[in-house]
Amino acid sequence: MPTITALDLKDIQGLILSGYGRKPAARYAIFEIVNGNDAKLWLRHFIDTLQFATFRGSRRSEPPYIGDLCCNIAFSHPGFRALGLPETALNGFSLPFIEGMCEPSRARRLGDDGPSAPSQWRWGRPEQPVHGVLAVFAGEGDGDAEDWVRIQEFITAQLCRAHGVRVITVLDTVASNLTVRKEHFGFRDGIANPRIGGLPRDRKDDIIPAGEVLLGQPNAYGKLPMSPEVPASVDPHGLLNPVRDRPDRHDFGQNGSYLVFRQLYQNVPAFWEFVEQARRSIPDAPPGLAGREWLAARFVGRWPNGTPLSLYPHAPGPPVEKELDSFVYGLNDDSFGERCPVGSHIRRTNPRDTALPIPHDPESSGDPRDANVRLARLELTNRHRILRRGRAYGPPVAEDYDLEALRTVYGSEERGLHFLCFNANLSRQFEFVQSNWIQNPSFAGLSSDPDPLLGVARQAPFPATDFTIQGCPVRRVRELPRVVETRGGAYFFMPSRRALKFLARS
Amino acid sequence: MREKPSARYQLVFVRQETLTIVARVGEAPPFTGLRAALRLLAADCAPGGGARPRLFSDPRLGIHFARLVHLEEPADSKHESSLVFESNFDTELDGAPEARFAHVDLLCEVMPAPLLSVFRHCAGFSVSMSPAQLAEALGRQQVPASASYQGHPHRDLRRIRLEQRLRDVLMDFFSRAPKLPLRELYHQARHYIRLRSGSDPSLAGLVLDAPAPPVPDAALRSARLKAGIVPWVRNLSSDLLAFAFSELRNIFTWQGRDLQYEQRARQEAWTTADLRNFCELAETEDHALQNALTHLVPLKGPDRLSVLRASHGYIDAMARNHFDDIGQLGGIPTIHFAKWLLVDNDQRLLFLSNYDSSWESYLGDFVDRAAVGLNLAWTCTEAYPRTFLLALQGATDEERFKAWSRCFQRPTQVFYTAYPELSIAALNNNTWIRNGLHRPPGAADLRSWFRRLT
Repeated sequence: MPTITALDLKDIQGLILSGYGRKPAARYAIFEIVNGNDAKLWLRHFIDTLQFATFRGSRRSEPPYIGDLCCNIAFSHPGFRALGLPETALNGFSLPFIEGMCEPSRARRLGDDGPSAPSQWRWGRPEQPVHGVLAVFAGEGDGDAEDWVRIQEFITAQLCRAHGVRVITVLDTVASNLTVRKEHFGFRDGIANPRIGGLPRDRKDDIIPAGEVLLGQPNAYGKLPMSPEVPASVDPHGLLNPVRDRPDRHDFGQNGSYLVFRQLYQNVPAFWEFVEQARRSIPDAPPGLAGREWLAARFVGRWPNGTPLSLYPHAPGPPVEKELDSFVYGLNDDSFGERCPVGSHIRRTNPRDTALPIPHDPESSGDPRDANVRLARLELTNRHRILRRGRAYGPPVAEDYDLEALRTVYGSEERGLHFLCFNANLSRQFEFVQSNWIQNPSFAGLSSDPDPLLGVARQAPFPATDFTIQGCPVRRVRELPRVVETRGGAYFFMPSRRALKFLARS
Repeated sequence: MREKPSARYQLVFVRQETLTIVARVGEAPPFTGLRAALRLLAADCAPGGGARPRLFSDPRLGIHFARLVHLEEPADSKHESSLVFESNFDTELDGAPEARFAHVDLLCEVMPAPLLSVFRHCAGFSVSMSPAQLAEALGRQQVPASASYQGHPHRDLRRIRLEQRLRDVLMDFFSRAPKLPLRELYHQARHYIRLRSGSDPSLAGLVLDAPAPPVPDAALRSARLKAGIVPWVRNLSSDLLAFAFSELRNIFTWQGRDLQYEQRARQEAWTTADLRNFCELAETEDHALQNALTHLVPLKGPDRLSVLRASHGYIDAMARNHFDDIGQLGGIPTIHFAKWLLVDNDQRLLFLSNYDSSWESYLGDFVDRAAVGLNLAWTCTEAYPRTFLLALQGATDEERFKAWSRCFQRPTQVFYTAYPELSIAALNNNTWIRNGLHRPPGAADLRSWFRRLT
């Protein structure tokens, strides 16, 4: 394992290390840079307005813990080009970032086809120059309408022609107190997020090395992630740190992180209508609404209140906060998916100690009761973790997430998730999870099962629509519908304070 | 004319063989005709493509995977452009050369026009060739593998498809079945399949009362899975050890001389053409569950050839004597077929593999599970991430190794897979399910059998 160095918190933008969960209001402004020089001038002063992660090193009671209005900024590859970043650095970013999320074969691998095709997106379309995103958070407690106004005024004042930027779209979110931390299908969300090594006063379980999220830090292989560098000659004031083993280069990427942004539309009634129809064909499903909840929980891997199936296979358990995320499958006699189906959403997106790619072959996968076996498996799956920072958009269907209301909701109001996540290696982390776990019909020894929420009937590698509930006997649900579609997206990079200073002055 | 070995038929069971043909392209860039011909063939063998039967899918050919790759060289290259054809096929013939020649004959008989459409652009071929002449010309251009691996030996296409169908029928049966004691459920299912196999043509050939066809012996597989370091040592012949000692001085000299692959410098110099090449590679991938990797890299120098041959000989011995029954090459459970070949007068190493899932996951498996094996295979090639004494480190440098691999990868223009929806894990699992139906499992194994239905 790499040695854990203390992080330079004042250099890291706050959103990377915190979702600002206590701030109920948030908006994301997607913008284009129309004049690079004006934008750089504006950026010079704007840097001090940004929220950096210093608050992660102090106590809540020590003012100023965190700003009233927190904002963070990230740029796309064309955005950095528009700001005049030197070519060596532009070529030093990772390939997915350079090519962009909407590059055709990438879109295919990410499942962005049919109604999700980039040509159909509201923003981030191939011909549309998305250069950056400004994420703004405000309010406290339950929040009020005033917070949204303040955020909007802030965005309007900052992202204007005079500053060389033009807003493409402002993406709203729903106040987090309204959603009681549930996503629109009605399930508790945002439970499982890994923690970064090197942060003071943090939980000590489920830790990934800082270099899995931040460039310039050792990653899970004990190496520094590839990072965009600039020739030392273009940084005469030494705004950037020198690269460790390359004195003629300064590190532009250090303490920055790749930000994946996807607007995901959720078809709530279609999901619940399908669940209602499908549960009737399963001999084990309880009758009525309980059966609906039972089957939907198999798809998700958790009950609506967030309790994991691996701990509570038959009925929801009490939502004890520290139990929700602190489990491994092997210890619950659940190596083969007989409690939490191996193809369920949470097990695919974070398989924990599931033996991949063949959990049901105990000969080759080892004994799950052996702690070393579990650790070895965790080590493999932990190389594909992401740090989620998303928020829901659109009004919740019903305050109590009543199952019947979820099935019968009508109206034109759109709802979904602004999926945001940070990682240091787009190919090995976000894209791996999306294509090898979510969309892969042969995930964990399955044959034709995609992720029941995110991966159904995508073209690559072939349209799959089954879902298997492991057990004796096994039950198979067929013809799952597509219930989530991509409406927009882009890859951004959220630079460090030093990198922003360099960018503004270069 | 070279005389072909006479065919000796043996009626034990079908095995798989691999054929590689490398022909020199007779044209100069920009290869307009050859590129167009390859595009046409690619469209004809894509899964779910046109209405016509897919190219290479003729059951007489018994092809599992096939590919055509144009190894394109720029005009100023010291190497010539070549066209590679690979086929992994079923055969009942005993000897490898006989099987390959027979396969070439059959290919030229079944699909002479498509083959000619591309090989006519190669030196020594002409558009007016008869199938026999074409077979003769192709047969001459074969290149032997320096090491090769098969992930599911002894199972021909018919059997693979039958077992896939059987699993599907069982899944449907159990999905409707009431909850009953396992033994009772098992016998109901067996009874149902036995009745159905008499009338359902998709289950033709399944005779549950006969013994199951031969498979890798379960006990043997078990032993090999648990064997650990022993097979590695056992496959080290005394000749190989003696050779390694004789090369020690060289190995230490190279250790000091070999430079680290400098991915960052290389990446900083990326041009639009490089980025286009990456796009082209990505475009050929993930159209089916399996992908083809074509990788071509020059050797560091002729002085390393003997070490490379020795390490490949060792890998080949491991692949044939140990890994083939497990379905994992060096711990990587997603490879159907793989092989290494020396081409261009032993100046370059060509690697062809057919694997499940995405490139990123395949390369990740390389790094996470099989770094030592990879180092042995590639350490003598240009720019390979720095190893320690040829076997250690190297591929463990994750980002550098992946970047190196991508950098020397070539687009696979035509890729055919006979079962685009079947992973090797599922394929092997289907066999275990089928075998469990022939002979009722004991009490301890019954639950395991049910767990395989997933």
